[in-house]
Amino acid sequence: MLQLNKRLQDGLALVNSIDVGKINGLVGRVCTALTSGHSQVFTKEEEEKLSVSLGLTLQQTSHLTHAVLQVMQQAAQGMVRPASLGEQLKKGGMTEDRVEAFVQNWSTHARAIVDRLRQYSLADRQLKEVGWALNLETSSSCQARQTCPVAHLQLGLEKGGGWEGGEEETEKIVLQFNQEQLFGLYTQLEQIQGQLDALR
Amino acid sequence: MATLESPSQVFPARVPPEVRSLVKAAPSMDKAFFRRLIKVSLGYLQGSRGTEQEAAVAHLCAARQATTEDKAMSVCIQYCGAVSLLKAVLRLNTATTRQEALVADLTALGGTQTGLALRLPGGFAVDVSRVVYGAARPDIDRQLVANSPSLPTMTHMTWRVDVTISTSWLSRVLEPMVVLNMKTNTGTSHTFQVPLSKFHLLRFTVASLLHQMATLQAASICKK
Repeated sequence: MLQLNKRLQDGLALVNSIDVGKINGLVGRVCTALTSGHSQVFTKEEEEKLSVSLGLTLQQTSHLTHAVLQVMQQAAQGMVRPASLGEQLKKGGMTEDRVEAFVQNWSTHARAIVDRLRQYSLADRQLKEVGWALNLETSSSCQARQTCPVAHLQLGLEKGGGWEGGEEETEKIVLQFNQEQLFGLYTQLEQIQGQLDALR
Repeated sequence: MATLESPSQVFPARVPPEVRSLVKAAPSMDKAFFRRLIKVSLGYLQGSRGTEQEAAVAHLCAARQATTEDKAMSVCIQYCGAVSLLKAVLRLNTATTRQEALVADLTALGGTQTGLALRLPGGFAVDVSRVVYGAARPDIDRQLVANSPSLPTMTHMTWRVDVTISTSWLSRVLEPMVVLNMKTNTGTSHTFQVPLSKFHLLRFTVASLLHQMATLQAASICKK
């Protein structure tokens, strides 16, 4: 169910004032931004150019973009079907052809947008990359000759960067494992995999 | 100080002064005390530090009735000598040097620099060689390896599998997520989430590393 507050209503009225071709382009652009995970649809220069081409003020342009973004986000949140989205937009007072533009773009991009949103999480730190190196210890200050394989695992943890954007910091942790410890880790990972399989 | 000609395998360059003091004091020691000295030094090499070790050294001083500061100092120097001796002796390659050769080497320790034959008494040399070649050697080796310099290792890992049902941006998610907590031996604790794709990557990496380690062990470079 689309929540139409006053601001969104004004935004939809703006949509009605722009011609269909430009609306199509705008909605398409918003959808691709959502699929690639950028929360900022247009950069500052792009917004200025857009407002010139639409014949609106800068503030109105950003209001318009924001309204379209909200409609798409609400559609994704409720996972509404394209037909149902079309009906609700018509009820909100949008003209037929513009509704058609919205519905078309939604049916093309829905799957990609939902998949992308599924990946987001509120996590403080997420594992982003795993690097490794396999070394052989041959001697040390305590032992003159030894052959001990040692694995170094580097875990790249990423902080921040939720779906609202924000700064991303990466922290890298390096851990060392000999064969026994690595096998212990492997056993635990297998246990987790067993649980994940049981979920299906 | 004139350089000492020491063709010994144990100390190829020169015999350290504390070892020399130990060898000098050795004839006046009884076997039990020497054995205890070896034991305490071994404890030190295996990583025992702090109050436990200090108590052991104080015990040694008491055993020699070292009441004056000078006597206590000489016992401590002998203890240092034992530690250096054991360190040097444990680095020997047990495959190429035989036990009898080591005993002969130790009894010839100190050379004939001042004309006095400084020798480690035979019984004591046998004790030292027993540390190197004895049954407890693999355990000692393991402890030594554990004390060598290394990057942080993981001591403990706990985990949790969450399934996200719904979020504010998507009403139906149903995506599993693994939460891992790793504690390292340096005391730091890391908690982080692992999305499903990265979990598979981690699992694959660990498995391939294990496989490579096994191949490496079987390869010729590891055959002593």
